[in-house]
Amino acid sequence: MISLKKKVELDEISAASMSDMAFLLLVFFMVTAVFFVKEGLNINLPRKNAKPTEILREHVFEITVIGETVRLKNQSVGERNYKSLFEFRNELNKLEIPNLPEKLALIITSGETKYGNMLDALSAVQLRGFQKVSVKRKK
Amino acid sequence: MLKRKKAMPNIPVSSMADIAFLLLVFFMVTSVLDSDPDVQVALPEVPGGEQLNKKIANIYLSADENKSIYYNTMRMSLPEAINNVRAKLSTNPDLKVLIHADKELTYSEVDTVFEFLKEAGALKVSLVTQTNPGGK
Repeated sequence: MISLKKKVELDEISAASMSDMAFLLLVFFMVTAVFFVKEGLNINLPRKNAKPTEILREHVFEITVIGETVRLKNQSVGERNYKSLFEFRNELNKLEIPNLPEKLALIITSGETKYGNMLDALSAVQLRGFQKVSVKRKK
Repeated sequence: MLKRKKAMPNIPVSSMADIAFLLLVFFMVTSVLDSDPDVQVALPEVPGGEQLNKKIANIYLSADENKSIYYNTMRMSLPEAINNVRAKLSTNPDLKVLIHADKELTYSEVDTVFEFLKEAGALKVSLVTQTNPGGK
């Protein structure tokens, strides 16, 4: 007796679309990924026994931050008061600063002023192009 | 006359999946994982912050709204934290201290930390601000 065995056909999973899936995943991850890049304001603290340096008064912009209010004082610009840090930031960008060899800012703040407000003033001053910024706490 | 059908040239795409997966694995392995100290701090939302290099090891000092001090993720007193900073700086003086301070804290509290850091010789400091998703 002759038995005819039929060849069993094996099921196959098509792998042709595998590359499409892999690329789709790749694009998805690349597009949706949030890169956690830390940002911060870099400062250099003075040495413990550092001597104060003398600078010309007309080069210094004195910025006093008390709570939300800001007062700006300079020999050439005069004295200006701002009700909020937002106003200060906007006005500082519009302010015509005389052509000085070096732009220095002194931020004076009370101990009770919020750290966030002090940092806001510091960033506004740095963004305006002041090369050296000093922070002093009112005792 | 019989015209012979010209075979169209085709690019083999069988290795495409391998390339794609290799790229996927490469990105997963080389990406820098966020190693933030897990301290709940409302950082100040201030523009103009510079991007900080995360590849360089940093010292994390955090202060939350309750004035609790954390060295990396460990809660401790300020003098203890500063002692740890001093010890760390003795092995690597180029380390930068990253300060995560709550925006609602008063400046006097942060200034006290500055005074301690000055004594410890930690003069390179970064005041960490709220990061916008995706960086700048």
